Amino acid sequence: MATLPPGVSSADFSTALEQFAEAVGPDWVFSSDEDVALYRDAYSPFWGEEQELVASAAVSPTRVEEVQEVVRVANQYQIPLYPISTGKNLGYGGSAPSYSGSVVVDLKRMNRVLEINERNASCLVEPGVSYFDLYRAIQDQGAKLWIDCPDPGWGSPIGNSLDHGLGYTMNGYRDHFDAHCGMEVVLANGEVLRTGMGALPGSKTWQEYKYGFGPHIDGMFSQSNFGIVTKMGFWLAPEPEAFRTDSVKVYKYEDLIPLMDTVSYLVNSGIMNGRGTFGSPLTRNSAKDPALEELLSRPGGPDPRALERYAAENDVPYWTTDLRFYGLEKANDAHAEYAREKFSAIPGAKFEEGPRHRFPLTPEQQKTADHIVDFGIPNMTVFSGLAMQFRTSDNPNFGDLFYAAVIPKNGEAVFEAQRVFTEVASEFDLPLRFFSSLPSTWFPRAVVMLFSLPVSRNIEINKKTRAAFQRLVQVSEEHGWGEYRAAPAFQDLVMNAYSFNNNVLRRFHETVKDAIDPNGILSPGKSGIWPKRLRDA
Amino acid sequence: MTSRRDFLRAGIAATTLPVSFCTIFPSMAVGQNRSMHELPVLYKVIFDLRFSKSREFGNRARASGISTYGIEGDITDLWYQDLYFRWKQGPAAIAGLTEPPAIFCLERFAWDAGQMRVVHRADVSQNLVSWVIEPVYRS
Ligand SMILES: Cc1cc2nc3c(=O)[nH]c(=O)nc-3n(C[C@H](O)[C@H](O)[C@H](O)COP(=O)(O)OP(=O)(O)OC[C@H]3O[C@@H](n4cnc5c(N)ncnc54)[C@H](O)[C@@H]3O)c2cc1C
Repeated sequence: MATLPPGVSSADFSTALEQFAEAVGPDWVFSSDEDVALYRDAYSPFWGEEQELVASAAVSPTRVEEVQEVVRVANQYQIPLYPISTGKNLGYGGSAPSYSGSVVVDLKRMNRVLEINERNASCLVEPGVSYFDLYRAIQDQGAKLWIDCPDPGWGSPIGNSLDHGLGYTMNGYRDHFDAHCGMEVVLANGEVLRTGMGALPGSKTWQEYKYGFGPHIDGMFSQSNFGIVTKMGFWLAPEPEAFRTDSVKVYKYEDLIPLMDTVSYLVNSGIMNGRGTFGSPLTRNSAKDPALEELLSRPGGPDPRALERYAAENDVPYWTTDLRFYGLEKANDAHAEYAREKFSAIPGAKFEEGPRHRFPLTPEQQKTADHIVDFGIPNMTVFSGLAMQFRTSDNPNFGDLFYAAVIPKNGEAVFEAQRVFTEVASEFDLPLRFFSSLPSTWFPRAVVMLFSLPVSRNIEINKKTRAAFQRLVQVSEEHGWGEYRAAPAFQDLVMNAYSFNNNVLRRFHETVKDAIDPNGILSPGKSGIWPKRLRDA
Repeated sequence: MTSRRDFLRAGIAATTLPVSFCTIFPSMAVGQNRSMHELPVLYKVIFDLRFSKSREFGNRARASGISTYGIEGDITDLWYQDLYFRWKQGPAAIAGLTEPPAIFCLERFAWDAGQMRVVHRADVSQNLVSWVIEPVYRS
C-alpha cells in the first residue's frame, strides 16, 4: 500500500477498509498498488513527482445506503473521500483526488437510468450513467429525445455537469449544469438531501421545476466538496426536425467586432439556437504556406495588417463564423435568411450555405457527418488519430492540461486576450499560433479562451507547463478574466483570484464547509475549499 | 469465489486458444514468463485496418481461430456495438496492436465494465503498441 491518508494510522486505515468492504462487498474495495494506480490522473502535470495527487484506495458502492455507510466509516476514522461519477475528467484532474491519500468513491456501479420522460423531455440518472448509457437507454426506449454530450462520450451527465462541463447542441442544453433539474445528495453526516421539488415527499415535479421553495442550493454541490451527488435530473431536447449550417466570411481584422456582435444578437434574441463558432484560415492550417507561417511566427505575435494584406493577396477571409440552426426546416430557413441580411451590414461579408440534415440521421450519415456531438450522438473520436497529442512512450507529449478563461463575448476582448496570451506563449516558448486562436462559444453571453498545455512523462516539460499555467492565471486575473474550471492541483490558485472583498467568497465556502462537514472528509481542497483542520495545519 | 487458477483451468479445458495466443504474439515478451496455463483465453483481437503490421496481426489471430475486430483509430463502435455487450456478461480478455489512444481508452472501459486490467503493453513501432487486457481475479 503506497499512500495512507495523512494523519490516519495504518491500523485505523486497515479497519476502515474492512468496514468499507462490509458496506460494499470485498470485491469493490481496491487497495492494491495495481488497482489504485488506475485512479492516477493520466494527464497529471506532476506525474511521478512528490506533489502528484494520488489516492490511497478506492471504494465502489452500488446503492445510496452504501454511500451513506462509506461516509459514516470515513467520519469515524477521519478518512478523506473523493467522489467521482465516471472519473474521466482528463485535462481537469482525471479521477485523482484533490488531496493525496483520499479514498476515491467510484460511483461507476450506480449506473441506472431511473427515468426517461418523453412527454416532458427529462430524465433522472445515477452518477455512473455515462453519456453512452443514457443515449442507449433513450434509443432502446424509442424516445424522440436528444442528449447533449461533451466531445468524449465516456463521461457522465452527473460528473460533467458538476464540473460545469459543456456540450454542443442547442442553447439551453449545452451548459450541462444549467440543464439539470433536481438532485439527491448524501451529505457529509450521511443524511440524504433532495433539492428543488424533490424535498416534497411524493412530489410529481422533481424533474420539471427546479426551485421548489426557499433558497435554491443546487449550485452549492457543483465544483464543491459539500456532498456526494447520488441522483440528478436533466432536461433533454426533443429531437428537432432539421438542421442547417451556414458560414460567413469577413476580410478585415476589425471585422471580428461586428461579426461577434451579430452572432450574439442572433443567439440572444433566439433567432439562432445553435452555436456560432469562430475561426480563421490565418490561424489554422497555416503550416501549409511558409509565407503565412513566417507572418504567424513573428516574435511578439503576428501583425494584423500584414495578415490582412496576406488575406487580400490570397483571397482568403480573415475571420469566419459557422452558424447552426436546429428546428423546423421552414423556421431554420427563415432564421438563416434573416441572419444573411444582418451580416450583409458588414462590408464585403460573404454568406455561404452549408450542409443540411433531417433527423434522425441514417447510420451512413452518422459515419460521415462532421462532429456528430453537434447532433447529441456520443462518441470517442476525439481520442483517435491526430485529434490527440498521444505518442509512443518515447515521445514526451502525452496529454493536456486545460487552461480555460472566461472572457467577454466581443471582438475587442478577443483581440486583447490574443495579445495578452501571445505574450505568455512567447515567454514560455509555447506555440504562438495556438495562443492567437479563437474562443470557444459554449455559453450564450461569454466565451472561453481554451488552451491545452502539453503534459508529459518528462518532468522538465511539466515544470514549464505548470509555470505557464500559473502565469496564465496571473495575467487573466490582471485583466478581469477568471477560469471556469481547473485541475485540482491549481484550484487554490484559481480560487485565490476570485478575491473580491478580501476573499469573502472563499471564506463563505469555508464557513459552510466547517458547518456541514466538521471532520472535513469530503474532497478536502476541492475548488480551494479546505476544512478547518487542514486550513489551520 | 472462483480463484484465478480455477477459472483459467476451466478456460483451458474448454479451448485450445492459449496456443493461438502464442501464435499471435510470437516474438513478444507477453507470453515469456508465463506457463501455458496462465495465458488468457482471448475473446477478441483488435487491430487497426490502416496499418499493415496491425492487419497482419489481425490475420494471424484469425488464422488461429480467434475472433477479430478492425478499427480505424476510433474505438467507438468496438465499444458501443461489441465490448459493451460482451463485458456486460462478465470479464473477457482482449488483445490488440493499435495506436496508443485506443488502448488508453480501452484500459479505462475495461476497468469500469468489470475488473479487467492491462497486463501487457509494449511499443512495437513508432505508432503501434501491443497490449493485452485481462480479468483480475481475487481469491
Ligand atoms: C480530448 C478531450 C476533450 C474533452 N472535451 C470536453 C468537452 O467537450 N466538454 C467538457 O465539458 N469536457 C470535455 N473534456 C473534459 C472531460 O473529459 C469531461 O468533462 C468529462 O465528462 C468529465 O469526466 P466525468 O464526466 O467522468 O466526470 P468525473 O470525473 O466523474 O467528475 C468530475 C468532477 O466532479 C466531481 N464529482 C463527480 N461526481 C460527483 C458526485 N457524484 N458527487 C460529488 N462530486 C462529484 C469530482 O470532483 C470530479 O473530479 C475533454 C477532455 C479531453 C481530454
